[in-house]
Amino acid sequence: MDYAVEIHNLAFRHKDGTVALRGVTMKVKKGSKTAILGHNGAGKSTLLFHLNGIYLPQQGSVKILGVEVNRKNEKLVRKMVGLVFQDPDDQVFSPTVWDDVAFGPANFGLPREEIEIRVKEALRAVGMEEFADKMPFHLSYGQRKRVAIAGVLAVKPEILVLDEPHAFLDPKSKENLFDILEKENQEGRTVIIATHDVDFAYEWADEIVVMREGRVLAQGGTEVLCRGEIIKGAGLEFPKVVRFFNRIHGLKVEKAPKTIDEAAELVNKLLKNMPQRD
Amino acid sequence: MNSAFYLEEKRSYLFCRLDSRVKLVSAIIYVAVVATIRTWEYLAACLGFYIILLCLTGFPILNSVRRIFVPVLFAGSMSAAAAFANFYAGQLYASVSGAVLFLRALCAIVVLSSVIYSMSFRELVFSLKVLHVPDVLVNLIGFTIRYANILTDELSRMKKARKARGYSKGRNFWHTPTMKVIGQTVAVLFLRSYERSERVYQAMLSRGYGGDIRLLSAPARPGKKDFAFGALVAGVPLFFKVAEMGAFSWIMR
Repeated sequence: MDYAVEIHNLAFRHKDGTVALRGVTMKVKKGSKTAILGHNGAGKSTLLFHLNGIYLPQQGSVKILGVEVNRKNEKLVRKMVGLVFQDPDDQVFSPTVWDDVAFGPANFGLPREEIEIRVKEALRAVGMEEFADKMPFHLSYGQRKRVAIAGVLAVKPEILVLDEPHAFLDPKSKENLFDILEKENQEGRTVIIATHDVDFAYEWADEIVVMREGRVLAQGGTEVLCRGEIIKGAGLEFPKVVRFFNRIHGLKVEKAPKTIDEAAELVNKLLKNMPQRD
Repeated sequence: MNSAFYLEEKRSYLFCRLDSRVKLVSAIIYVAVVATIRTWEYLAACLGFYIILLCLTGFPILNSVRRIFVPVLFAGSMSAAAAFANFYAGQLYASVSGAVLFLRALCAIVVLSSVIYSMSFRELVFSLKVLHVPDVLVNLIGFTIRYANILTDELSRMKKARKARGYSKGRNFWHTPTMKVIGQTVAVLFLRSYERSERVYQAMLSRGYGGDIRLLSAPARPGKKDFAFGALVAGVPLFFKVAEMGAFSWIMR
């Protein structure tokens, strides 16, 4: 099996003494859509920072596409893993959208012609082509978020990592983000997100990692989010679809539906099979 | 962020279209020479000449007056204090020295503010790089400009949050609770700025930043018009300086 990310016994303590990770071991399959869930302070963001080489392992190891993350190859790792920060204002800082998207490719020493092509492609991918000459600070929060994603896509990383991508986004922007992530994954990129949004994770991801107090509590398919002890232990809540079916007494379904559409289809099927009353 | 930095309409003014490197170098020479002139008439002439030049090159002077109001006020009060201090010493020369000080400051403010206003952020960074200003300093200037608006946003959010909880500021400077709140706000703003700077730096590192600024494209070479403007801006104060040194009286003789 090819793994995009292999983490073994990773531990990390912040400068202020806070222990953020306590022996995390996990693997992410190449080309998968992985959601890392956990409450605030569970260590999700710290873990993501290790994937990009911003934080280097204090204990244990992190391998990206078979390459061990250390000081010697941190630049290579940053080329392989694109990290989108939670707050676009932390990431988007250039005077124009074009400049900001070109920042990464320029740092990796690409020639001007190649940078222009990549910026155009990245802006097209997030639907922000016509904003290239605008100042990022005059855009809406959702648009700035898309610019931040474009800035990372322009580097053409093999792994796309997003920290709380849904934070403060309106429903329309969330839908846009969903489409962008789907498209990037279909193009062969491994996509990893850290989120609180169990509904999104349940609907979108094919791999789930649940964290609690710097440790991995569970890892597996989306069925992980149907297990009461995991949900309770991680301080999360069941996805809405799962909650709905859990409350229907006596109903047993082979496979819990993942989306509202799937749930509606299932309910319609059940209603159809019910004996008619006069 | 000051949108004036990027407004396309600026491009319609000849002054703003002139080469940024030439403008910056000539402005530095102008300020350096003006700082050595001691005669208030010559200083006034230098200032008048520059303002006329701005008018001729289509610079929106009236729009810019508000922007320089605070530094001019500061320079004025400092010069007045200097003049007043010497006035007590009973010398007529003292008040003139205040005027000289003020005119020097005014020249520097007008020249530098007009030059910086006329450039885009990219041009400013490029010019500083061409002048071999150390990367650290260029970064510092760049981040100050880029994040000025984020800090003001942060400040306005804090202000709204205070208002929402019924806070209203005191009517005078001696209102202790107001002063306490202002002090706390400034402290929190510093802490938040520090935390944000850490996150910004991490975001830059994650996109391959290694401490140096990469210029994606260089502006075209300066033309005759640019050099003529530069020569005028740097040359006129030099002319007055030479005149002040008595060179022309020697020729007249």
